[in-house]
Amino acid sequence: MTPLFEVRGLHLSLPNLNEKPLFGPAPRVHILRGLDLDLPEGQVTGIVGESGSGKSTLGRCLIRLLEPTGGSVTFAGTDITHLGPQALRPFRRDLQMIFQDPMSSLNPRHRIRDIIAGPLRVNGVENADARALDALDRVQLGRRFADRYPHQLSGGQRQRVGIARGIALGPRFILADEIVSGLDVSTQAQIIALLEELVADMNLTMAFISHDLSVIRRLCQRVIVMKAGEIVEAGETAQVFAAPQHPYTAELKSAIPLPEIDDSWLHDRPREAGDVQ
Amino acid sequence: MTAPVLSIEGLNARLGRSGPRILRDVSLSVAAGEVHGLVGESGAGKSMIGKAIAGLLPPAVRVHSGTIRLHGTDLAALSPGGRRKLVGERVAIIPQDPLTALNPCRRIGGQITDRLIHILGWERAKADARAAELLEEVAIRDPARVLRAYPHELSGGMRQRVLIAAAFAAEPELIIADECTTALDVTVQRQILRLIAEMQERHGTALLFVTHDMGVVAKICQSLSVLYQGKVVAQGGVERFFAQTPPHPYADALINATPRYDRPEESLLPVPQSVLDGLAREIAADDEAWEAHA
Ligand SMILES: Nc1ncnc2c1ncn2[C@@H]1O[C@H](COP(=O)(O)OP(=O)(O)OP(=O)(O)O)[C@@H](O)[C@H]1O
Ligand SMILES: Nc1ncnc2c1ncn2[C@@H]1O[C@H](COP(=O)(O)OP(=O)(O)OP(=O)(O)O)[C@@H](O)[C@H]1O
Ligand SMILES: [Mg+2]
Ligand SMILES: [Mg+2]
Repeated sequence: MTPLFEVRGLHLSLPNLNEKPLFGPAPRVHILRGLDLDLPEGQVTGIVGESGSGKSTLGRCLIRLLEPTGGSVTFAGTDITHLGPQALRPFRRDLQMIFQDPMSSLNPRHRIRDIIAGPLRVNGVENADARALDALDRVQLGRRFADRYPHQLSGGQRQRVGIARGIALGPRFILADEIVSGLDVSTQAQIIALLEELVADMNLTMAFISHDLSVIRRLCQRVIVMKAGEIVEAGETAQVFAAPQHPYTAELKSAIPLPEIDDSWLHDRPREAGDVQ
Repeated sequence: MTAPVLSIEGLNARLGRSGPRILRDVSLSVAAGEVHGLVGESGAGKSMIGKAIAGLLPPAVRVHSGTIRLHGTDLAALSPGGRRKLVGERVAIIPQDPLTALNPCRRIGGQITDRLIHILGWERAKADARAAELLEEVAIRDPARVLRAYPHELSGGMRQRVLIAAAFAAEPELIIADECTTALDVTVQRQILRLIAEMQERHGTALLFVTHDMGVVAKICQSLSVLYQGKVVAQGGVERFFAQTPPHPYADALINATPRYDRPEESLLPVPQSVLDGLAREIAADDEAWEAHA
């Protein structure tokens, strides 16, 4: 099966305007340093890694909110690396995103029905309202939420609205950036069950950025581990967990706080890269 | 016995005069060198407790009764200015939302040194050096760049660490940390938790640690309050909560809802309906007692 996304040698650098000399160009910050990855269709791929390693930046390159400065991004056989806004239009429906903080991404003045129907109308979809209500059903919120405003919902309910908006257009790909980290554990459990169901029902492909390896272990078939703008390990989740190849992955695994009392966890020094096992 | 750093007694708050009750007779105390966890689902009132201590409650929320003491001093007995000064000097708050807590138009460096310069009266050069050092302690890779950057140029986890560094800067007696590691990868999280433990050893800092992660609670807290709809339904030493029979079925349910990589199928379990029903009865009984009393 050909992957939905093929990424080769992806590079992204930005000018660092804070260090710009009086004359001449600003020095560049290198954020992504040559990434190769495939995202198989119909699967959820987890992206974990150090904070600041470039996970969100990689996600933004995939859905082309950012233009890479090197390498290529191929989506469903088309090279979309450098497409302009006009050429990207037909792909916008297929490439959706769900944000971490639904409160700041949902317009506080709009009713839930309009928040979900908005992108449908912009994309010229017929029956936008009916489809918005369907999406509310799909995320198990129900139509009685349609006329509420975002501040009248709990954090978990708002996250369902974010998901409803993401799936309403019937996309092929969804980027989910830290969408469960702000939620309490019982709400997290519900949202993850919902995502599992949607991926299966709608044949979605998803990139799931999270720092929670336990959630990734549960939800994702494959996982990519990033550090300092590079991919240090990639593979089947079960395998990566059972036998981490890179010391950083092993360190991540040992740093997961399991809900058990264990005094050594905090004080054990992590193994350094060169240590003998 | 010395007075606890923070003690809250019988705190009651509601929305407006007759709206829903937000805090129900909340009592808790945190001693020097202690980490007290505060858990509960979204909307339980965890952040409200922190805001009540800081005197930052939203205008719609009214405190009905209760006392908050810092080292035995009743905050309500102080003038507003006196309260601000005391809280400003002794308490640091790491707020839940890093993006709104940082000023988007100012460089990071100044936002960390503010406290040092204005509250503690440090000289600028000394404060700048301390800021760089603090960023290194919270595992920021390139402190020099980050100090000169604006908030939008940082990743979510980097912003969160800037706030942690700013809180630690003034070596406060009490830190209120509201979900302060949610945006961090686990290795950085562990490093931050270590830093907290070190601070406590060195300065005896007291910490009120708001979180929804029972894994983190197990690793760093000595005591715990479990909040449900504004009511403390269970409280005590942390060992009891992770023992064979936890002190409250809701605490047990929260532990079972925690994802764990070693048993993916047995974790992430929703809170059972029977537990929710039990909680609903507790809240109803509480309301009844409250109305009868009023
Ligand atoms: N607009 C920008 N200008 C300059 N640097 C930026 C900008 N946006 C991001 N960066 C830098 O790019 C790097 C990667 O950021 P990114 O947000 O992709 O990290 P991340 O892996 O998602 O981290 P986190 O887990 O904390 O969210 C960081 O060092 C950050 O400072
Ligand atoms: N500005 C406000 N005005 C009125 N009610 C509010 C306001 N902010 C919060 N509330 C309500 O107060 C209650 C407690 O909120 P609080 O923010 O303390 O919850 P929390 O336990 O911190 O939840 P979370 O885990 O989602 O942060 C909730 O029912 C919430 O809806
Ligand atoms: Mg990110
Ligand atoms: Mg809160």
